[in-house]
Amino acid sequence: MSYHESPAPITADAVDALFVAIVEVCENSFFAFVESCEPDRFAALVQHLAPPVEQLIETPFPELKRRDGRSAREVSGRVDRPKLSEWVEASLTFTGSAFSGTMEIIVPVRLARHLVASLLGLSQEVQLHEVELREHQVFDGIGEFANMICGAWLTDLSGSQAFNLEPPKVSRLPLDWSPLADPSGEPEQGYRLCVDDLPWRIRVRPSNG
Amino acid sequence: MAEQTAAVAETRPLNILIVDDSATMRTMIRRVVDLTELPLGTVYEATNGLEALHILETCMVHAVFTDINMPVMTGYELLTEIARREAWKDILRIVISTDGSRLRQEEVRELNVNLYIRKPFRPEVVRDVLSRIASTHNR
Repeated sequence: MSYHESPAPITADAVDALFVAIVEVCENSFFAFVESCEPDRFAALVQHLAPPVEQLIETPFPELKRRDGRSAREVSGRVDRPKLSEWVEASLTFTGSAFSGTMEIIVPVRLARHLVASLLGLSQEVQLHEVELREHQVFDGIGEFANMICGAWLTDLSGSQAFNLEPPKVSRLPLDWSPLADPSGEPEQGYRLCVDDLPWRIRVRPSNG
Repeated sequence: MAEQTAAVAETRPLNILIVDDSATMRTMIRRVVDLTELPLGTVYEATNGLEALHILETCMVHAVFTDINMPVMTGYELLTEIARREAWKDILRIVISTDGSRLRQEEVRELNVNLYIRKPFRPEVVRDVLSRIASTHNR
């Protein structure tokens, strides 16, 4: 007979400590001012996110036809870029003396680019939209962002005990995914946040046993 | 002018090795290092402890900045190997890690680590560490 043990609850103090860790990481390494977001404001910010850059590139300008009736695209053989989701998720598994589980951070791509550019000192030199960051750089940087928050939080909670962090996994969420229609529900042990009016979310899921 | 040239000639360039599995962190640390205006030689990069060992075996390195949690070979294993070899006893060792627990800090302190920097850190922290290293290096 299988036995399913409920996840260990995360205390209110631990959830408070998570916010302290978020502020510490955002301000010290990413030079970003982070605010917690009430549900209504969070929803408004999500709805006001403009289409992602990849979709803007595909905005349908009237396609010019050649004399032979074929479009330039047909002649060049260029293929449309697939539309990509605006949302990126970084998750990492941790084991510690206080509790174990998974931390998930979900950010819009443009906020991820903003944070990574700030960490690298790029946004001080040029306008952010001029910064060339490839997707793997953004993913690596946002993985490090998650790693730092989780590490700072567990350091605070664990005291003298050591803990272990698995390497973060970063991926784009499905195109139709929205934090407002997330089937897994509202975050119970986490926060809705924003940086420069760009919404993002963090959640901790304690593991079983 | 002649005095300036003599001062530069007397300053030994500092070779640095940055070990971190995150390319973003390596770039960030390298950027801070470049901004220090210290007499730098070569700045090497490695994505894990094993790659770092290969560099140490073939190149002259004066200071190592290493993360702890890395795939293939951890920073702890790398520091253990450095501490074991007589030829590397003068290499300065700086840990930069998200794990700031006392236990982890005590573990690496036994491996002659000169400084433990906890992530997140401000760039000035690395700059100040390098300035101290450079002054020791050129005595």
